[in-house]
Amino acid sequence: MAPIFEQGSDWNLLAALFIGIAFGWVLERAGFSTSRKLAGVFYGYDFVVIKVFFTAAITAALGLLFLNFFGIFDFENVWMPTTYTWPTIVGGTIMGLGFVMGGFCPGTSVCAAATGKLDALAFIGGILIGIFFYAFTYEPLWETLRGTGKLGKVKIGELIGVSEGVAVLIFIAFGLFSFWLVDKIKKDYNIKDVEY
Amino acid sequence: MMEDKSKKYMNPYLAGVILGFVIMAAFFFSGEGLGGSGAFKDIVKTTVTSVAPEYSIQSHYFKSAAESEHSPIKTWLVFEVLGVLMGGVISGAFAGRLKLKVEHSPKITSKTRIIFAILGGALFGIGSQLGRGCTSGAGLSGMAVMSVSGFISVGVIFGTGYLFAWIFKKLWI
Amino acid sequence: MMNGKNLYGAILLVILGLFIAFTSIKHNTNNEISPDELHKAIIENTRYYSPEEVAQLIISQDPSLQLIDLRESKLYSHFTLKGAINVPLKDFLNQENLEYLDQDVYKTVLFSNGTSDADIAWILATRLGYKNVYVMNGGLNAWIENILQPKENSVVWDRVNDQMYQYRRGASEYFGGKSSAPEDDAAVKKPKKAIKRHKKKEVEGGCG
Repeated sequence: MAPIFEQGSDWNLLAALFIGIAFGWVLERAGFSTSRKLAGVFYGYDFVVIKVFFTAAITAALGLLFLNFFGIFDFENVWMPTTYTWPTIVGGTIMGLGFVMGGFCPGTSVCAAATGKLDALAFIGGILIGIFFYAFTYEPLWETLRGTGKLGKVKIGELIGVSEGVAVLIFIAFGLFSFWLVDKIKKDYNIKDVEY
Repeated sequence: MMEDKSKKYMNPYLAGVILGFVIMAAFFFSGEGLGGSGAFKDIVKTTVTSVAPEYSIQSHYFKSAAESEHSPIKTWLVFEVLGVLMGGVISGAFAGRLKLKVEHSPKITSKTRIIFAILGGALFGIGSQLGRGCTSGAGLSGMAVMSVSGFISVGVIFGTGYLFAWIFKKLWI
Repeated sequence: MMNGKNLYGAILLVILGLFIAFTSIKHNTNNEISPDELHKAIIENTRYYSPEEVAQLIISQDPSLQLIDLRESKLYSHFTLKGAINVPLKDFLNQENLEYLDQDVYKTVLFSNGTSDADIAWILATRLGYKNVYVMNGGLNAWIENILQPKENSVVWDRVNDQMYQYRRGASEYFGGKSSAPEDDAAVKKPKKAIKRHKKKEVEGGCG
C-alpha cells in the first residue's frame, strides 16, 4: 500500500510541502527555532533536543513496525539508508563540531530563519559554503573516504542479532532511561535555566 | 517568569510524538525520510549544473545531477524544506515569536555569533555530504527505519558535541 | 517532568514495545495476489517455454535470460543448462533466493527434471507477486530428448554439441559406466546426418 504517491510525481512533491509544513510547525512549537535552546543539550540547561529527538525516533520506529504488522507498509518500498561506517563517523564528527559551534542543524536552521533569526540565516549561508567547498574538493579529499566501510542496508536488529521488534523495545527502554537521566542531571547539578 | 516562557513551548514529549507521526506520514505517503541537508545539496547542484554545465559533466560530484533528465531542484527534499520554512513562519506568527534578531550569549558579540554560525554551517555542509545526511535525514529518519547508519550518526554527532562543548562554552552561557 | 501524563505515555510505550517485540517484519506485504488471480494465471498457460525456445535463448546469448535449476545441488553439479543458477525447490522461499526474482530486468525460466517442480515454484513465485517468471515445459527430460538426442524435426541441435558431450560423459561417470569414447563419436556423427537429410528434403521440396 505504501508509499501512496509515486516517486517523482507532482502529488508527491505537494505531499512533501505539506509534510514539511508539519515538520516546521512542530519544530517551532517545541522551541527548536532558537539556537540557545538547542545548544542547551550540551551544557545541561535544556535537554529538549534529547526529549523530542528520541521520542520522535521511537514513535516513528514503533509506528512503522505496527504499520508493517498490519500489512499496509513495506520497508522494501521506501527509503532506507545504506550503512557506510567510516564516512558516517568522520562526517558525524565534523557535524558534531558544527552543531556545538553553530547551535543548529540544517533542519532547525531553516525553522529558526523562518522566525527571523539572523544567526540562522548565517548558518544556512555557511551550509552552502560548506557544500560548495566539499563539491570542489570532492575528488582529491573526499571521494575515496565516502565509499569505504559499506555494510549494505543493515538494520540495527540484524547487527546485534535480535528481531527488529525486540530492538525497538530496547530502544524504548534506552529512551525512557535517558529521559529520566537528563532530568535527574539537571536537578542534581542544580543547573540554572537560561534566559533567552 | 521562567514558568511562563516554558509554557509557551509545547511539552517536548508531545512534540516528539507528533514529530514521530510526521515522519511516519513521510514514509507512508511518499516513501521518503525527512531531511535537511539534502535540500541544500540540491540547491548547490542545480546552481552549478546550470551555470557551468561542461564542468559539471566531468566532475565526479556533479555528474549525476548534470546527466539527470529533470531539474535537480525539483526534488522531494527541496519541497519539504520549503514547507519547513512555511511551517516555522506559521507557528512563529501564532506564538508571537517572529522577530529579526541575532541570538547570542551575553558573553559574546553579535558579530562573533554570526562568524561561528557561518563556521558551524560550513562544517555541517561538509559533514552532511560525507555522512550522507544530517541529524534529521541520516539520524532521525535513519533511526525510524532502524538503520545502523542512523544510530551511528546520532551517536557520533552528539558524542562529538559533548566532547568539544567545553571549548565553546562562552558562545552559549 | 515525570508527572502523571508523561508516566501514562511511558507505560503505553512499553506495552506497545512489548507487543511488537514478539512480531517479525513482513516482507512484500502488498504484492501478493489473490487466489482468483492466481487461478486465472495458472489456467492461462502463458508461462511455458519449450526446450527449443530455451535453447534458442541460450544460443543467441540473450542477456535478459536467467535460468534457475530447481533440482538438488548434486544433480545440478553433474549437469545443468548453461549459466543456470541452482535453487533447490526446498530452499526456494529463502530470502536470498527470492532476490533472483525480485527484479524487472531478467526473464527467469524455471526448470527441473520434469515439469511439476518448476510449476510448483512458478505458483509460489506468482503468488508472491513476482513477474517475468516462466517454466521450461517438459524440463530436462524434454531437453535431453529434443535437444540432445534430437529426432529429425529438430533444427537447432548441432550448435549445442558440447553440452551433449559433457552430459554423456557426466552421465556415464555418474552411473558408474565406462566412458564410451568410440560410441560418442559415432553418436555424435549420427544426428548430424539426420539434419543434413532434413535439409536436403527441404530443398527438393522447393525446386519440385
